[in-house]
Amino acid sequence: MTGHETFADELTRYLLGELPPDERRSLEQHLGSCGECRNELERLRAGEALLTLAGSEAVAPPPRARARLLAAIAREPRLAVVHEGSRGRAWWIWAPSVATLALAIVVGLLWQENSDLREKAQKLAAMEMQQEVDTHNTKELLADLTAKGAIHVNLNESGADPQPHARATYNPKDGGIVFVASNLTPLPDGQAYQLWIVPMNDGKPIRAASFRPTSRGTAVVMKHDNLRTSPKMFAVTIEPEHGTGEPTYPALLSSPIGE
Amino acid sequence: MENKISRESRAVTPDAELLQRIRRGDEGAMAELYDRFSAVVFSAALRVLGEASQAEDVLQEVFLQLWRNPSAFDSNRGSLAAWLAVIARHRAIDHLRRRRPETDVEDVVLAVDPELDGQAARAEAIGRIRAVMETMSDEQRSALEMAFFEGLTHTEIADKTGEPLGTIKTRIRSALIAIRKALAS
Repeated sequence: MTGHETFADELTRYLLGELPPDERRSLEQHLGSCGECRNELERLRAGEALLTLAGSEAVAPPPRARARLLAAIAREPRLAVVHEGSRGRAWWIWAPSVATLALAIVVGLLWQENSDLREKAQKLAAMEMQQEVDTHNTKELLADLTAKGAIHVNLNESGADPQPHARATYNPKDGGIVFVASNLTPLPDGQAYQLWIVPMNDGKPIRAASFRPTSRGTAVVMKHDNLRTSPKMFAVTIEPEHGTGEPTYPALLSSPIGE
Repeated sequence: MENKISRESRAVTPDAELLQRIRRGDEGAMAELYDRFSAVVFSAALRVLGEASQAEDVLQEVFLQLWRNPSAFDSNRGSLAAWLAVIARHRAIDHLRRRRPETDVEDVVLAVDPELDGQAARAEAIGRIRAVMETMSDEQRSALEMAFFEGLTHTEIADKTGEPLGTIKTRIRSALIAIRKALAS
């Protein structure tokens, strides 16, 4: 029996979750390269769907389930889960002013901390006190900024059309990236904005994140991506929704670090 | 029947449009989609779990997941009702066996005619499946139902029925292939 026939035989067991992990991995690898088996799996899944529908007596859920779901959705932050490189890291899309203001606060606090450091005699006590203040301020700030019904606006030059704008921050210590964009044009289905980082060493762009903006044209990306070097440039391009390995030029937004 | 399907599709907002609005965070679109498919999801979960409160948990989980990641379903590839039924059954079996989800929703791709979102076409396809089930022996139908709706492994079914494992595997495999062929005809 050829490899292909072996896999075809395993598809029904795969469908029912019967394959042990090693056989499952091996089949999934085969599915990645064999269109015939993929089609067969899709047809079997179609049978699975119809069998599920055929075997289930149509029962409406209790009315409270609808209210429960809608309440849960209302509690969800305005998140758009997007494709990202490093699995397991969550990143969020919020209103831009959240991160912009948060960054301003952080800068302010760091400046304050530096002042405190100059006071060597009170260094430890001042830092401890500062941390308490930071925590308190951050909590209050986030509570206001993420409150349901909070109003977020962008200010532009009077009379001028708002232009796409973004700000990126990279922390070399832990690879933390905060990217905030506004005035982005909505994209048709199948397309997404893609954030790239061009590292200082070989200059080959690294795909940092793929994202779609909110209906207000705003997006925030927060993630960790250890570059092992400093970034030379950030850029945003428009790409297929599932991402691409190379940027499509010209970039919509680009900026040397520190600009 | 074609006229009937056309009337249905004209009368309601297409699923793809609702999903697009959900991508933009439109809670109203989510409520509409829920009204359209909650019975499909709840029924599938209830069939597996047999207990309404647990089926309700699966219902919440499936729709919340769709809200968080509406792109997981590719509306160009088939029927949303069929896709939701598959996801609901998988999640219900995960609940039954108290295990972490084994199937990534983005991996579930179906070769189902999108027209099956019309109730008439869906009812017709379901009728064909039930007709195939009627042709099966009691043993084969029972093995299929144990695997499919009770979440039993082939080994557990063999233990329960006293039949050889190979026989159980063959019965279930040939049942699923018969169903796949009935859809293709």
